[in-house]
Amino acid sequence: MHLKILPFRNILIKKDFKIISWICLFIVFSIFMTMTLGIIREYRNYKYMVNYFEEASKEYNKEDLIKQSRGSVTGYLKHMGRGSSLAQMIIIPLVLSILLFSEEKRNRTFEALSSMPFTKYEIFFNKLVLCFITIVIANLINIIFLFIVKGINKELGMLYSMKDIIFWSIRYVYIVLAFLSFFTLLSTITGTTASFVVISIIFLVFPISFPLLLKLNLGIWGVNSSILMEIEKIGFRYNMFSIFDVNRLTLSIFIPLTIVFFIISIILFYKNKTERSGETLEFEKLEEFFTVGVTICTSLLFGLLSSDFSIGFGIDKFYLAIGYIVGGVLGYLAAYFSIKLNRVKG
Amino acid sequence: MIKVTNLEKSLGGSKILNNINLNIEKGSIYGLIGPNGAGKTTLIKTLVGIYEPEAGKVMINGESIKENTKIKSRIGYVSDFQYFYPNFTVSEMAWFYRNTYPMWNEEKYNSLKNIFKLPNKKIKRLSKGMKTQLSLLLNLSISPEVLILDEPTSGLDPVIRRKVLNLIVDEVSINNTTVLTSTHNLLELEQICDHIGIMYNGEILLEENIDEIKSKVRKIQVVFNGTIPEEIKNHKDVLHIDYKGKVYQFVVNDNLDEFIEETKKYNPILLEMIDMSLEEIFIYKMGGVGYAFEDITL
Amino acid sequence: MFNIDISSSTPIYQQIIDSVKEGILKGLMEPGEKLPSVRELAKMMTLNPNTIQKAYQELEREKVIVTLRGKGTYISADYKPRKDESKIMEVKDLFKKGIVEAHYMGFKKEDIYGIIEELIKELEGVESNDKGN
Repeated sequence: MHLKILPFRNILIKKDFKIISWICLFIVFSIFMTMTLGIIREYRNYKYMVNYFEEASKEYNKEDLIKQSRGSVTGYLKHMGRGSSLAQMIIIPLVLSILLFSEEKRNRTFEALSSMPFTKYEIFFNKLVLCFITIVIANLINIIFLFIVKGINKELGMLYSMKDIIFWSIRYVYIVLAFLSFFTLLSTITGTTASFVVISIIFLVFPISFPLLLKLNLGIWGVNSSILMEIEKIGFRYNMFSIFDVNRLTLSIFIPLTIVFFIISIILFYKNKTERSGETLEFEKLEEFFTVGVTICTSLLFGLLSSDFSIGFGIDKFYLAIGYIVGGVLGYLAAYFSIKLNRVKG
Repeated sequence: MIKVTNLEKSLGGSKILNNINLNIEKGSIYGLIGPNGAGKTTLIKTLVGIYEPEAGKVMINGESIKENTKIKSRIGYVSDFQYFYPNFTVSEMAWFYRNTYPMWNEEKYNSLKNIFKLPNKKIKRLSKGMKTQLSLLLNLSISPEVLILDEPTSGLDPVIRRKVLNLIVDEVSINNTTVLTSTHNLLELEQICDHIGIMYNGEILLEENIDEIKSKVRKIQVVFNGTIPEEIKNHKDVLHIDYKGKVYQFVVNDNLDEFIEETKKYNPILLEMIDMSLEEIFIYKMGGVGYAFEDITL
Repeated sequence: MFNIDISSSTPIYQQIIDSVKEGILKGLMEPGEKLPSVRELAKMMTLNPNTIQKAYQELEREKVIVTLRGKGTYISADYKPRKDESKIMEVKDLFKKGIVEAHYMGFKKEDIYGIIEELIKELEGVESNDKGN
């Protein structure tokens, strides 16, 4: 059977659009609130400066002021990762993954879809296409808006170049797609929305937090290895958040990574079984790995906490041991029951 | 039309379907019956592609259903619980089906709408019965070649229930649709089905043409001249013996004429046939597992 | 239209065949009269169309009814109870079984004749004032 490479199905795109339509508005709104408003703020600063000079009847060079403001805006547009815009570029793909994947598992609409004349490839592909279109169109709306503003308000228009705006949008789309691939992958290995969100957060911070945890623990035992320092540094340098620093190196890592994540997602999506919806993890074989992982991490964490707690009491190795044991047990129970409870329900 | 061979399926570690073999001819109305937990819903879900078989094959119209959009576009499926998009309205669901199934019949949809009379609310605001009706409405409108129904009349009031049976029968009359319906209601089954499959513990215990099974399994009332002869008591074709005083009732599995010949040798005072309902036939035919059918309601 | 008991041991298609024959015998249906189509009857009585088809096929085989293409199904205009050889054997067998059983139940010849008369009268719809002796 010939496999269609691009299986567009209008009805699927429209159907999913009905589900995420409010998100589209939200994306336009949040781009506006972060990027566009920033430019407007800069413009108001500029106007304020001009007013100040005018009122004080001081001499000023308008050209210089404009150049200064423009420089500010250019710098502002190059930097992708300030607080609210960073959060938005992570939350938006997270919510898209929840609505398009996890929720369809939770409310069992995937079950209905699997009895209908769609292939898994069609279902997956059209969801991605929709996400891509949505993000691009939201940016286009903003670009068009700023283009029109340039024509209306010449002064404000002088503060930014369309080229910078367009490049900002391209970077935005790239970053959001990267996070989307990351979250989509995680949604194909989890069976409920709750476990998806939890695991997403864990894996987002994992490259940073785990080496740190390890380093601090080993520090208590008196191990001060330079290797550990290196691991920690790499963790801090190479995690999902480093995508916000857009340069040749990060592009060469994250673009292939995004593609790889999407490919693995579709493979795992094929292997997803309807009967596993509602379970914590899609694949039974992962359950052991998950339990062990959680046990180790909580154990290390509790060890750390209890050694802090015991400072001043002298017998810290004793408290450390208790911390490891208590943490290990709690972690194991948490993982075990989160799997067990969902199994009973399903 | 529908052919299942050596089907096996486990869920959550336990084996639900154990070597299922099923054969449903085109244009037949096949009733699947069995106690709760027998595996009917699992079998049906495997038939429509929701579950994948662990072993064995499911073929509809000679083709495997896996990722087969061509075949799936001709299969209507009404499940026991409808998982529609909760925030879609009734007309939005119709829109979705309309644009998904190539053989959607708008005229039929409109005339069926008048029968079901569903309010155009969001799915999450509909009762279970209304959701079932919506599912029937939509799945009949796609001009299905195969109609698979999981307890389609449960949760429906008697008026609509009759209407649904009528629609199914009409569908088969006009389009030679093949129907598989699982039900707890034996009377319904007796009414519209031509074949029946009894499922128990993940297996199909019996698959039979209803007319044939009715003519094979018979009940006969006999009054003997004296005590019941040993030969008759232990007759190979007797499924069950009941008696009140001297009046014996025998349920015979097959070969009725032979049994009557044997019995007449003992010059019985009385010998007459008694009608047996399908329900009774099952209970006796299932013998040891017959107790499991107590929860089947009439 | 027909009196069908789905819980009876007699298959539904057989009941339909018997109903039609009885209806003709009792004069409820005239030769040349139109019968509902398979689809119409299925819809009217909420019965399986295959079952009805089976009954109609058998009735047609026995020349009780006839189907004209594009027009419909009609009671045979010239339905005459044919003295079909195999049918004679069948009827003889049925009689034999009935008589043998009756004999075993202790019925005498006169009783048996009385029963036969009674049944014929019932089917003809004539009330009998006589009592057999």
